[in-house]
Amino acid sequence: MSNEGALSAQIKGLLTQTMTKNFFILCRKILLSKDLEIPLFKKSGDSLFVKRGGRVEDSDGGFSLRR
Amino acid sequence: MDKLLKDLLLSDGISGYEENVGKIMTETLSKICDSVETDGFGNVIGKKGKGKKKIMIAAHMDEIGMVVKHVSEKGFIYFIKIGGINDPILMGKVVKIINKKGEHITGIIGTKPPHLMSEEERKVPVKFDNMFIDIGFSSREEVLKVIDIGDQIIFEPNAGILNGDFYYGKAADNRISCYAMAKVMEKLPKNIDAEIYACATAQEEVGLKGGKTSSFKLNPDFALVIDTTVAGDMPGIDPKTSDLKLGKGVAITMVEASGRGTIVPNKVRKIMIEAAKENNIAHQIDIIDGGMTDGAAIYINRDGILTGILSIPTRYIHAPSSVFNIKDVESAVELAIKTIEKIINNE
Repeated sequence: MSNEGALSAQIKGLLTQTMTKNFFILCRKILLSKDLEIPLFKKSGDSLFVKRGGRVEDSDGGFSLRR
Repeated sequence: MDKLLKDLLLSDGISGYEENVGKIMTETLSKICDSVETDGFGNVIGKKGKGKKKIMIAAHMDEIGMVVKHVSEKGFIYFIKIGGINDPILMGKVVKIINKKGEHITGIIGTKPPHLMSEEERKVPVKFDNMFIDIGFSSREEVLKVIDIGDQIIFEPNAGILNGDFYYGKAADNRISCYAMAKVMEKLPKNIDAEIYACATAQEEVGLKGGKTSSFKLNPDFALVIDTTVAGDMPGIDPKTSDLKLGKGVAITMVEASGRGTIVPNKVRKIMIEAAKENNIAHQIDIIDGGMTDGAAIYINRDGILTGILSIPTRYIHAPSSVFNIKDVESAVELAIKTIEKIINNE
């Protein structure tokens, strides 16, 4: 049983939502609930990156979302 | 303890490094299937029987673990996690780093002792990137003569019987289901009126990947996933969170991850529950909020593959050792067979 998959799907499930402040808050809530470090968010071009553990995940990391 | 079960629990194979456990599955399935192959992704697929219907059984063979990332000048090894590991369980654990020669190098996961932590540091759990592995060498050069960057790291292999039907082992998630799948293939008649595929999938723990590629390749009429699920019969888990108990039978999973994972179709749920009741097979119902299986990737593959899930309740999954009840493994085998028979006979 995979819990990484569940986390990824939770975030993907939010993709349909508009990228508003509420979206960031939801994303942050999920990551925090999974006992990860407090994420920081950064916009870069048309991609949204979620930063955790001091690293910006790349587009394959499951945490960068296309607008 | 059955030899195959023990061998599977003791074997190594974190996601993407499944060669050794794959060999055990290949050898096992070769004795009971008409043919066995390892596909391009690393899934081991055995085939048995002839018929119109194509049925796939899937059990992932990868385990959670770590990979060597960096070796410091003083010979301490830093790592990344593969799969869902809760950082605090790592501290002080004995691990094995498997080098290119296949040797198991013993290491201890270390971190700064609490005596030297600041008050602020003591308040928060230590993260994995502040931990390191000590294999008893004093320099980077010495360490790199024994291991390489990119080698897999597993928890120290363990397997055995606690008491009666209560067993324990490393990587019970999901080697006990690989064992159950092999037993299903062994028990199904040679002349079964369907093509039955036993698929030991790769890389489930990191995104349900092997289930996706293998079900695309096989395009089955029905897929039956066997995996572990979280048992609730231990301190700290409320029955409303998980009411699954060891020894009370295999769980028929209906909804995973509150619907973000598999929602098993009503038709399949009905067939599986009928099969259990008609044959007096001990079973429980699994509705889980967190966690999902290969089923979640399989049932949305192609134009939607009819999928059922059998889950073996297990305590302490994603830890260095888990506890399960062998009777639940046996009921998983029995219910898988009866479900397959029903699917074959169901128009």
